[in-house]
Amino acid sequence: MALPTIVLVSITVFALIRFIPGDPAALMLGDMAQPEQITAMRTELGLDKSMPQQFVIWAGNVLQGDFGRSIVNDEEVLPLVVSRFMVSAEIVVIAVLLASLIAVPAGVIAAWRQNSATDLALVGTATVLLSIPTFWLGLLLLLLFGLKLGWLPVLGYVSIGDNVVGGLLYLVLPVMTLVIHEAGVLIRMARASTLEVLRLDYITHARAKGLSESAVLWRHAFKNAFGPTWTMIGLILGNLLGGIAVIETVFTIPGLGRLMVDSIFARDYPVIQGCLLFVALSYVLVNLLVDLLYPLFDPRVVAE
Amino acid sequence: MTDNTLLSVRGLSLEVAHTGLEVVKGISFDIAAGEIFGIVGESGSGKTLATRALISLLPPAIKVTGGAVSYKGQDVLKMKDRDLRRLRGAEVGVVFQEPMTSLNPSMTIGRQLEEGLILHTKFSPEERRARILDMLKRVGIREPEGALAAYPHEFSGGMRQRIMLASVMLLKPALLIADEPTTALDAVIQRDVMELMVELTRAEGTAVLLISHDLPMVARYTSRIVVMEKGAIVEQGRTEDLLDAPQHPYTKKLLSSLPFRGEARALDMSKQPMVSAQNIVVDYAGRKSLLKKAKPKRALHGVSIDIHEGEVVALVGGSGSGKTTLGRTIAGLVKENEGQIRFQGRARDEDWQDYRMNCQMVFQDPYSSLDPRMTILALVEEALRLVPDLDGAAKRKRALETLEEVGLNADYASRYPHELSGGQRQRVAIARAIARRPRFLIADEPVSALDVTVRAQVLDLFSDLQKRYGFSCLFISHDLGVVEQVADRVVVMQDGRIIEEGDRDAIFDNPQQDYTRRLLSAIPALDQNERGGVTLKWRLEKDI
Amino acid sequence: MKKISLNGLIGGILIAVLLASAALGLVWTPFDPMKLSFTARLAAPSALHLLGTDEFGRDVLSRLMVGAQASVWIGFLTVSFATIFGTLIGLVSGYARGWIDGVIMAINNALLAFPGILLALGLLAVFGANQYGIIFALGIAYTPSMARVVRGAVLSLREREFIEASRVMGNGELFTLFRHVLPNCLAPITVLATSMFGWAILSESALSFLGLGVPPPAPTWGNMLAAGRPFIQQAVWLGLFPGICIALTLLGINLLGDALRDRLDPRMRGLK
Repeated sequence: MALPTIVLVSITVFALIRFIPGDPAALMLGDMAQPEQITAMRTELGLDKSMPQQFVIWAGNVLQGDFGRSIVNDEEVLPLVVSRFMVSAEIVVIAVLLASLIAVPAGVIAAWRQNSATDLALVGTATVLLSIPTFWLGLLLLLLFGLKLGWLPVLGYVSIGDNVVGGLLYLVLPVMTLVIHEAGVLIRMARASTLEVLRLDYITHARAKGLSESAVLWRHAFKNAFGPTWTMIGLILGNLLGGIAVIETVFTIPGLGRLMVDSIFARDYPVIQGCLLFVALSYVLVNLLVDLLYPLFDPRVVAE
Repeated sequence: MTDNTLLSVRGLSLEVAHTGLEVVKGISFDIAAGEIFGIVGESGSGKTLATRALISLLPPAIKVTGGAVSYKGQDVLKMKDRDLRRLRGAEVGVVFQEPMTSLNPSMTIGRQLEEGLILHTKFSPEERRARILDMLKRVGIREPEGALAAYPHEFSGGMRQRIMLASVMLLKPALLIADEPTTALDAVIQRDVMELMVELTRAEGTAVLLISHDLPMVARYTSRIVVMEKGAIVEQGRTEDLLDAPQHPYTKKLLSSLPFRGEARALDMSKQPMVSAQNIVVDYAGRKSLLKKAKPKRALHGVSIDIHEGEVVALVGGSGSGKTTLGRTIAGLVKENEGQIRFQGRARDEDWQDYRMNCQMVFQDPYSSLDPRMTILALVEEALRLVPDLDGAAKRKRALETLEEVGLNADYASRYPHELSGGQRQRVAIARAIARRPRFLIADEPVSALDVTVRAQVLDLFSDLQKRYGFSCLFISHDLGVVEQVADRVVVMQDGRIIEEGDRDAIFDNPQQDYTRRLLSAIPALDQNERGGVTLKWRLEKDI
Repeated sequence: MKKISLNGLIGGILIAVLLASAALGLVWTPFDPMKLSFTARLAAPSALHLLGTDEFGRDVLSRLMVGAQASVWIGFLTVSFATIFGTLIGLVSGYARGWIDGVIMAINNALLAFPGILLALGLLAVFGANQYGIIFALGIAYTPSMARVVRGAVLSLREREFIEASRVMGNGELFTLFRHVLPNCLAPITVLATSMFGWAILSESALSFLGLGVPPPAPTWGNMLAAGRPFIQQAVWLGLFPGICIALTLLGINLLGDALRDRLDPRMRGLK
């Protein structure tokens, strides 16, 4: 399943970049370029060849790890993308992990106590949380903890690798922002799938066996209800890996999303192309991993 | 109340909490230790909720409004949670209807069986294992060792119900509540599971509360019966007495609704058949994947069947026998890989339009066979859309007439399917099928989703219409009782082949194949008496 | 019989307020939303400027009302685009099956393999960062989700007996598709389209916040937040009110979506 998707993703990325109006050769050479210079540049870049030929050359290069060079500063694209990706991934992985740890038990309990005050409070909170746009939430947290209270650094970024405590401090606000938002999504998901399971006969049967409510809930309901939530966690993880440009902008973090946005402003095609491809592939990979682990929760689904 | 009483229910009333609708109305009965006791009722009779209340396992929306349930002298409804949990499983075991959903899909059989033992006994792990293996062997699981590590989805419905029985009987409860334990199973397997249940409970001295809509089945195994209608007990007593001389009109109605054999008809079989299917082979493609193509599965192995003018041919067999596939192939919903289907002497494929005009179908599930977004009138009118020589007004008139014929007056015309009961929906489906006056009708389990009394009414309607219009019919059913009532001829299928066919009386009175005998052993022959009662005669395999 | 749920009520009110203020903004705003006033720069909320003014002295309330129009308009066009094309693709794919389905779904899955607003970002590079660029980019990015949901609904409907009944009646494939299949897909389409409206408004504001959306000086909630960001310490209201507008709109849509799902989901039917 994954392989044809990867091929099609690559074609899509390639085609997308070709559709961008403007001539990359002309753009690289600037306003003062002569027509013959542009022609020479086009030949050098391979732009004079047919589309399929260009694709084959490009795909061949990508397979060898050559994503091209940035038009703006001639940096190699792949190392640039990877280093920026690590920054985003650090935040996203921590946030999704924390959000799951908080949200999944909360969702299960809400389902167990369906229509109680606890349930209503949890679902209501979750719905409100997921309705708050992350970039605004980030802005508010920044205003509160950074500017008003002065507890946490406001701008800039330090890698954990360079300075553990300092790095962690810079992570707190972006991670908190994401956790609050994604917990809202996950609580609702976990609640819905648990409700679905709690209706089934084997839950009644487990109760009829004399099991306690906690055994029924955690031993029988939880594992069966976790499947859909697990898929959702994978989707969120994959989504965030490519979609935290706004958070990175709010907190001035040099992540992949910010790189992508800056490249679009600069019309730096090779970098846009590299970012798109890299993120899409990691998304496919994350989902593949999620699918492969799925049978752990549901033995009926056999990994192929 | 005698000393022998195990469970005693007094004036139990239940209602739906937020609507105040009373679903169980003051019912009382006693169950003695070791006895097999039956509750019979149609859907909506409250029988399932009533039995859930016996171990305080009601859905949150249902409240107890009165009465008492006493188990060995203790009031169950007033018990603390802890005492209740000690009662459930250890003292009272429950087997539900749906074997496909009553086992936890993500837990191995071994762990699910062990769970109860850990909770209610003090056996060592080795002893638990030994008991589980022994019990699995007793319920007929071939490789008990292997079953321990297997998951529920690796077993068939019948096997799962055996495992459920094992899981409950491991704890040697004093009472087993079995709620429609075999309804979801094939006729032949139904009987095996019931026999197993009786054998196991007898060996342990366990009393059984058997709940079902199937009066003959309950009567076969129980000593005493309660009949419930709309939340109330209308009659109770010893099984023989109740069958022989029913007192309440509803019990009489239930008994008279049981299918019985009609008069054999003399049909002209000399002409060419109306429909003739020759050497039909159907393969279902295997799952395709990128690297390998799975082998196709053969559903029909060269099957031939003829249906004559005005004849009702019943196609019977268990699930997976290919009977439905054959019906769908003849209907043109499944493409045959080999073979030919002829209609009135011509190859069906030569004139599809003619065939579509003359061959209609009634499906099993009246909840799924009617488009939920169309009114009843629109549904029937649609069947006339392609009929030539009828203008709009004539179509509407014909549709309304047809609805009238199936017992639905003009008031129903503007309603939607979800506003109708199951029986009414099936009437609409029948109206839709006969509106075109087809020469041939395929009915795929048309009454198996319906309650007993409704089933009898729909079968009567079907017979009336068949006599009036004289269409030929292929009647597909797993229920031999129904078949005995409607069929002229019976064709028995097993594993994609026809194993036996003949006139109805010949098949029912003198079956040749073992499989046919086993099918027949699941249904009784009925003798009706003048008191409105019946005598059930079970055809034991060795007798026939 | 049909009771309006609390969710539906709150959601409906929030969305009604959004639509009303967007409509009102067409004919009347307290101030001219584009008019600069250097005397009233960064004025705090007062009786005159109910929600204060921005760094150029423009009235925030007036700009929010005009911004609501942008949100509603972009959301509406995006959802219409994705719904029309996604439904057609999904219907064809689910009903045709075979290789047509295979090809369409392979492409669909490839497009779904771009997470979040990434595909929209890439498409924006093609269409240009403006109102119509956003509509096309988001519309294309959302179409695959709609196609997948519709295809799923079609596939499960295909198994239903009333579709087979239609075939037995001799109805043509197209007739069956539009008479029986499509009407029964409307419930999931409605539910998804409602959520999509929310996604579109959120994405538009995020893109505008990044500077890739509707360019200033035309006000949108997203670019108002971006523009106000350097001043939030002195002028909290610049960071507060546009965000509240987005959040309340999304909350309204989410609540409305929940209510719709509860009502339209066939599994919920009959349970009352």
